[in-house]
Amino acid sequence: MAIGYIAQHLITNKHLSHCAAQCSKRTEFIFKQKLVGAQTNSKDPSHILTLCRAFHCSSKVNGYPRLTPLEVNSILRANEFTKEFSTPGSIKSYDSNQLSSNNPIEDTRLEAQCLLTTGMLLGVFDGHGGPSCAHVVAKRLLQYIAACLLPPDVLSKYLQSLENNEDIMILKTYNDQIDLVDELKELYKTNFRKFVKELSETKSQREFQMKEAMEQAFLRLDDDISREALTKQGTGPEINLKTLSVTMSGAVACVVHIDGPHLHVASVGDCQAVLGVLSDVNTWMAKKLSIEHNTDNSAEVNRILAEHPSNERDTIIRMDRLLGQLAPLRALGDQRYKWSKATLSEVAVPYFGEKTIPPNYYTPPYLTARPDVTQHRLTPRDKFLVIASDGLWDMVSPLQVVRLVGEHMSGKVTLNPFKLPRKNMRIADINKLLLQRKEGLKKKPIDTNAATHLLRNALGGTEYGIDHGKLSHLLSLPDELVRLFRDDITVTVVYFDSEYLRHSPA
Amino acid sequence: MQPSTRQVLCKWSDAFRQLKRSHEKVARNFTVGRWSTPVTIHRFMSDITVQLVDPVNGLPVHRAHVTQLKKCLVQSIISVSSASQRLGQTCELAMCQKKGRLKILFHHDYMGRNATWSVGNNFSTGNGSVLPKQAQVVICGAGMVANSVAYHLVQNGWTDVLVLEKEKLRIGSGTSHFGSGTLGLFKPIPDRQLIMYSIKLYRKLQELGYDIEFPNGKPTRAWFHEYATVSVASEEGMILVLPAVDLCCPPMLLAVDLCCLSVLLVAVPGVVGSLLVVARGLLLPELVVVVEVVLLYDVSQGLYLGILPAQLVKVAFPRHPLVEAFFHSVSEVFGSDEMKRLHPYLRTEDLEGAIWVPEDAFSFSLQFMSGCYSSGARFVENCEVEQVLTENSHIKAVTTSCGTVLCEYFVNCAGMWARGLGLRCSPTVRIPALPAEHFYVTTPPVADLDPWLPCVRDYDSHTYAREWEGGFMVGGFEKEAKPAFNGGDVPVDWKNNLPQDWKHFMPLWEKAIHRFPVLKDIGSATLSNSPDNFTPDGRHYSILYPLQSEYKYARKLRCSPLYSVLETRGAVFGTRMGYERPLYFDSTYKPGNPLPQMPPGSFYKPRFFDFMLEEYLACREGVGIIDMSSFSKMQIKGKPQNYTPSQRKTRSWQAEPSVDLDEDNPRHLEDRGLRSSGTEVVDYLQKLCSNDVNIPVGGCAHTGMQNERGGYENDCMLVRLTNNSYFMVSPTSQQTRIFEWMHQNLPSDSTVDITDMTSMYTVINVVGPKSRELMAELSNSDINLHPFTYKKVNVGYASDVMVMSFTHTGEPGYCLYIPSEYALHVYDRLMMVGRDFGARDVGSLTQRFMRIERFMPFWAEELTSVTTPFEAGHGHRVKLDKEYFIGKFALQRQKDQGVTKRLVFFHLEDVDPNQHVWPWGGEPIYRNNECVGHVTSAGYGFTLSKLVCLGFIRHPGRNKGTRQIITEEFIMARNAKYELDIAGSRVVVKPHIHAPYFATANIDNSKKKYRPTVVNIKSPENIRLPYMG
Repeated sequence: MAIGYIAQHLITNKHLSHCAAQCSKRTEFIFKQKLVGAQTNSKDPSHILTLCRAFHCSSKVNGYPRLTPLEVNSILRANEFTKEFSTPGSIKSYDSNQLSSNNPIEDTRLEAQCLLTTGMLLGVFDGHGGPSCAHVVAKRLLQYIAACLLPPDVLSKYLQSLENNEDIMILKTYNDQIDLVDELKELYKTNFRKFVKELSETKSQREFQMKEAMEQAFLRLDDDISREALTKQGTGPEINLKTLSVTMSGAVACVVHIDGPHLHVASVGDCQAVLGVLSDVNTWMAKKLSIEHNTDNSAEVNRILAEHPSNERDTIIRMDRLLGQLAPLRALGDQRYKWSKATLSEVAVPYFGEKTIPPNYYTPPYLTARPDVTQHRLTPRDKFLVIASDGLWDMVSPLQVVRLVGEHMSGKVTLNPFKLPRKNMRIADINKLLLQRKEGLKKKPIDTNAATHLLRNALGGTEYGIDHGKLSHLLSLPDELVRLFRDDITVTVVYFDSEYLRHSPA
Repeated sequence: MQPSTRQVLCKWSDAFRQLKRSHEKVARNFTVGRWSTPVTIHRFMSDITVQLVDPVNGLPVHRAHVTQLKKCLVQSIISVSSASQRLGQTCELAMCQKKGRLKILFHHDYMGRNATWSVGNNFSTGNGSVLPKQAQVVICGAGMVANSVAYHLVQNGWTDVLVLEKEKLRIGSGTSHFGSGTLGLFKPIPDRQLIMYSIKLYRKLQELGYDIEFPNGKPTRAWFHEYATVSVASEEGMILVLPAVDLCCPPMLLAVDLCCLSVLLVAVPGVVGSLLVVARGLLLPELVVVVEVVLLYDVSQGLYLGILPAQLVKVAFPRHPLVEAFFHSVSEVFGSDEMKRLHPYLRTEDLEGAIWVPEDAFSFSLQFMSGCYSSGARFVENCEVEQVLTENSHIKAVTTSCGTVLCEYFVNCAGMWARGLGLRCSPTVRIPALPAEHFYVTTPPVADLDPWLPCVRDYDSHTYAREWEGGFMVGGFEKEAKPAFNGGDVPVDWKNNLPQDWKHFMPLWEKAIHRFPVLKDIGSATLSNSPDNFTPDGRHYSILYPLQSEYKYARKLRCSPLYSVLETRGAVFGTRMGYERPLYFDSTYKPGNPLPQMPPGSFYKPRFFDFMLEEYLACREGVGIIDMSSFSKMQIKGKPQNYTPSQRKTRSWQAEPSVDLDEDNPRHLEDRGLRSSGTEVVDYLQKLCSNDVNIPVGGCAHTGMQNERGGYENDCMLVRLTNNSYFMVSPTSQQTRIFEWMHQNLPSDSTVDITDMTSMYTVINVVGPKSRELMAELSNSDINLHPFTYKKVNVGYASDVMVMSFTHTGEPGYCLYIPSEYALHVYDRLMMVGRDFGARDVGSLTQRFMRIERFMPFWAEELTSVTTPFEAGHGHRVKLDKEYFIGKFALQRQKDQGVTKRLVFFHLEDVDPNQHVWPWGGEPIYRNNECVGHVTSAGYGFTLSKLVCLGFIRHPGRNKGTRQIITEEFIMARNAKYELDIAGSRVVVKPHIHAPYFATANIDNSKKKYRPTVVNIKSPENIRLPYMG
């Protein structure tokens, strides 16, 4: 899980000097630390879950909160980002925020405006085994998609400009905090040009299919990442450790393309996009637009089982994980589940150790980066879209998320559904609780950013409103413990312009 | 020895040529008819007159008058002249030049002497008091209308006609003699055609030599006088009288030379027409000589008005761009007082222009009687109709003060008594007409008043003025007339109940004095009160702007259940068949404010155009909601109780007399075996319809119903409800007409029943690409209907709404037939839920434009009883392989031989809708400079972003009097250049024979494919940032 944790240092510019050889050891150490902290076996994640629940219920036992409200605010709001659009379009604005659990955070988010076609791309990437793959994917995937959207004539013009080193931008990114080392930048630029070239050569005159375009972008990027790791750089015999570390970590991605009323979601793994729909009787409804690739999705499980010999049925998915290790059933990177055993032994084992090869690794690849692409036509009732990593969805249900954002829009607070805290309560006590709850309802949301509002409620929401004690506790857990109680959370909330959609041509 | 016509004409043209050269008196001898008559042409008071001299005694017999008129044959001149000769009257000879030929027409001189042809005398000697026992046709009344009816019946072979008059048998014992007798052509097309027909008829009668006797018994003057009229108005729209060429005589215009024109001009009073003068403008100090004659017509109605010397147009619109363009080649300078010469008493300082109508005429009370009398019509006087008896809904007899007369037909021509008579019938017949007081003033003779003075109609002040017995007659039509006899029944001594109300007439009189200052000095003007029968349209003397000439009275008569709601949403209404229909919606209207009103009319882009554009966009991109409740709706079903006796015996229901014959539940009937195989309705409809209407239950068929000539009697949608019942939707104006037609053609065994369901259903059209999603949402069911099928669904809480999958706009969508009590609920839901689908109210004018753009012909505009499906481009809806249907043979013949006219769709490429006058219908269409037809309907094509119009095209040439076959190749020939004459300027138009293809938005959005839109790559700096969706 944490393999490649160090590897990210290799690719982010701040920690380049670190020695790659140490990474496997360090990784192991951290891994063990986590296990110790949780006092449980990492192979049995259900235990962790139980523990989490127990902890949630007894949030008050800790006595006084360690953080002041101001401190809580500054933690929650540290990564806030808001973008408003003044030109008419289906997107009015979006709010985004992140809260890390891993250090450094393994989630990434990136939003970009396509410059050669109309439309906007928004992505949430959840890395595992370190953030490096997520960073690289985030940085590159949107570009790949944007290129796939170009019609043949525009594509060839664009290629021309690339070859002439004219700086025609294909994307304008917002909130881009990822910076890669120059070496990788160059490599990626070259490979992207290669891709565009091939694309323009192969791009058929066939009718454009959004599904195909998105799939092509995902698969090609995954392919490129894999190939970059295997291609020897420069003259030396050395495998490029930087590219290798990228591909040894993995990332799930959920990328949304919005152009007018046309919304497409391409998703790999367990990030989710949920649409907030206001019904004609003014109640909020949540509509899941992405298909999650984990063991909750039986179709996905069946797909994997069908792709491998039947004698592997019992070993492919164990403990709700792929080969007992990986929770998402599709991902970018993660060549540990894609390369052949021989390649792994040759390329990865020298750096990452024997454990790199998963158990029961007979008929790779076990993992694919092919996204599921869904499409939706925005209606004026679709008020917003929440794209978030599983860190959020683990804590709050899609409907609750939608209600939280929906009522945040109208400036009201939302409380968790009322539940009796204990059995055998007297009516008077219940009445007291309800009065308390009523008071809570009068409050206004304190965050302007809906993503922050979601974070705050996900962590501190109770029947009476935000419980500062609970919030403070969850935000002040020691690094080695925190991962057990909450994952990295990335939330992007996209608001739609109902008036625009009402009059947008069909 | 008779000279040929040609010789005569040559001499005439010769004379004119001489005149042109010398501008002097020219004398020539002419031979007209069988008399070899010396004719003198000389200038007479700014006139050209032709003197016909009797060859026997050398005395002048005829004073002929040179004029210019469209249709006149030398033969008729001869016959007129002979008639006149016989009567000893003088005639005026009118002439015009056509392609170098001269045409001549006689006018009776109003100064006719010895008008001894007084039929009144003949008449009173008849057996006018004996009431026959029976007659085929009984006509009540002996006024103008009754006489006309009798005349035409007799002319068409109905000889057993009886005319009953309650007073002394004499024309005009009622109100006929009172009327001003004005026959104005400046009217909407249908009215105009009636009047034009009347004028022609009067001419014909005149040629036959009939004359009249005035009520006062004093034979005075010729009864029919083709006068000039001048119509005056101050609104600019009115004067969009525009230079154009009429179909009948296009070459005439081109051939008229300078000389003739100046002659024409000076000869104005006697020559032609009326001039519409528009106030407010300034007269140019100088007038310009005419290089061409201008034909005038009313662009709104396609009404040919006449010929106007171009300089008058120039006077009328000194600064009008059209006029300036037209006169760019102006040369000589002309005297500025020509306007005055038209009518010396006219105050012209504040006039802007005039329309001249050459064929307007006055009929001072017309006598048909002798003609009828001699041919078989009988007249009975002093016989008052008391009651009309009916039997089985058919006329049986009429009871009168003189006894009862059996009859088959009864015609109510009782004038202002007509309403009362109708109410006395059983069942009651309600006639929507009421006598209103009409005032006019007559003055004593004015010295030197030119009897040929044109009649002036001043549309501003609602008055008219003409010469009468040497003086003036000035009348007016006030905006709010006074009902005669205080709105009650016509009293017996009604003639003593006509108070002179100077106070009431004074405002009009003052306006008349303003226009004719001479009236001020005239001493004893007499005010007469002449009640006249009026229908409540309130349009008399108003300018009929395109799309905007709605009736003023009898409004809010028939309203859709949605009327009040639509009103609060900014609807501006118009009526059709008395049914209020939203014309457009003023989207700026806020509830609580005064209701939106139609802006002032215009011949240019309508002032409410932007609202229509919004409505169009709703239909094109979102959802348009159109209230179409006025459509005529009928149910046609079999009558199970009318099975033949032999069938009856086998019917089980006879044994169960208590069984509920619920027709609305056919399944129930079928279960019990109550229905036969039920082919009587489909057989009946197959006989009526030219399309195959034997469609599956649940299907709809668009079909025409033809007459034997193949012409349209109806254009409708038939929906098959059950095996043996249909639902029919027809145009609004067809409600009573088609009901009648279908009744006439019912099978004799009366096994088919037709019920008018118009008021039972409210019809809402849900139009546009998002309509399907909206309907699915509202009905919670799949609305994926095949085209031309229907389904009953629940909408909101309303059950059994009939949803048909077609619209009347060409856009995808649905027609909802909602039981009227659910209408508000359904509309409410549509609007509430539809908000998110971009729903908007849409009016019928937008729908009209959308239909024109789709080349969908309209009922009564293109589709009439004289046009066939093949001519209108609906040949694909004719199934000639069917068994016999009405009109099949005519259509078969047409299919084999081809059509002589064809509906063509035109795009106006070069007309800027924001700047130029729009075509509105009636504009002549030219093909290579030959007039081949007229525009029937026109509008703005929103999708094409240009003006479009429809019009029937005929072959310009005739082959032995019959029209030539017109082919697609002829219409679309590459060398064919089509032009439209709009307001005097020719614009090039592009013909299309097929409806244009528009990529209609896919109604099923869920399956719609996404395709990225490219931003211009060349200029990355121009990329609009940030995001634009």
